[in-house]
Amino acid sequence: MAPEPFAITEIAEEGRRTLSLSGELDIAAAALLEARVAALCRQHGGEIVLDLGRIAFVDSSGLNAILRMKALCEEDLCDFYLTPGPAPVRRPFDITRLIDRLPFRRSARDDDSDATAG
Amino acid sequence: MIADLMSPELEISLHLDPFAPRAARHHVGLLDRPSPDLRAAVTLLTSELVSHAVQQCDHAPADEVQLRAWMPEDVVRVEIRAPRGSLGWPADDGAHYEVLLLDRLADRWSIDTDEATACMWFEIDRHLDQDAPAP
Repeated sequence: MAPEPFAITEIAEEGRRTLSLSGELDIAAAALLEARVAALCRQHGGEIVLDLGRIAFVDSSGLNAILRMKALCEEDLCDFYLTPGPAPVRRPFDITRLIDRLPFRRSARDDDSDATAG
Repeated sequence: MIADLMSPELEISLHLDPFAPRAARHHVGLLDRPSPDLRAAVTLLTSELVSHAVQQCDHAPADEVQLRAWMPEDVVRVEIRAPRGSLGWPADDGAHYEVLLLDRLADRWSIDTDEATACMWFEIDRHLDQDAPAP
């Protein structure tokens, strides 16, 4: 069965944009996602949440893209958070220890970060 | 070495564009030999090999790679081949998460070169409990 194509669903709430990701976050998807986050930073500011809950796969290209987006948000004074993905997606975050360096939350609306899952 | 002794179970050419890693994962995922746990590692590391080639093709002449995979009883081996100079070692300039993933998930990996070609490969040893069906 062919994998689900990468897709971004944007949910707008007051002061927060949640990007719900599905499909596979790899080198092809990373460019699309980074462009979207850069545009959101410029246009809206506030808080940006990447929801990884429906992602099926992430590799080092996806990890590097997430780090670049975090840096971009810091430069543009946006808040940047992630919500955890399913177990196979958590593994690269665990192996690289990025689980400890990235601001994870249990859900997009949590106010407190939770670095227990990736 | 199994690459010298056996015919690969997968042998395809991939055009080096940003969609090549996805195509590689798809083809490797169609092989029915690994267990689910092993399949996840093989798929991830295959993506790392091909993504590495895609990133390096900006600086080198290759526009495609050969992807080959072997899955005998004792080991999984996946490799990509391209013209010499098209596959180099990652620069020593900071964190390379692809290297970290290969170090942690593969039992062996390397980039071999000869006069004409470069070959980036990894191997994962197979164990009976690893290949048992998931409960």
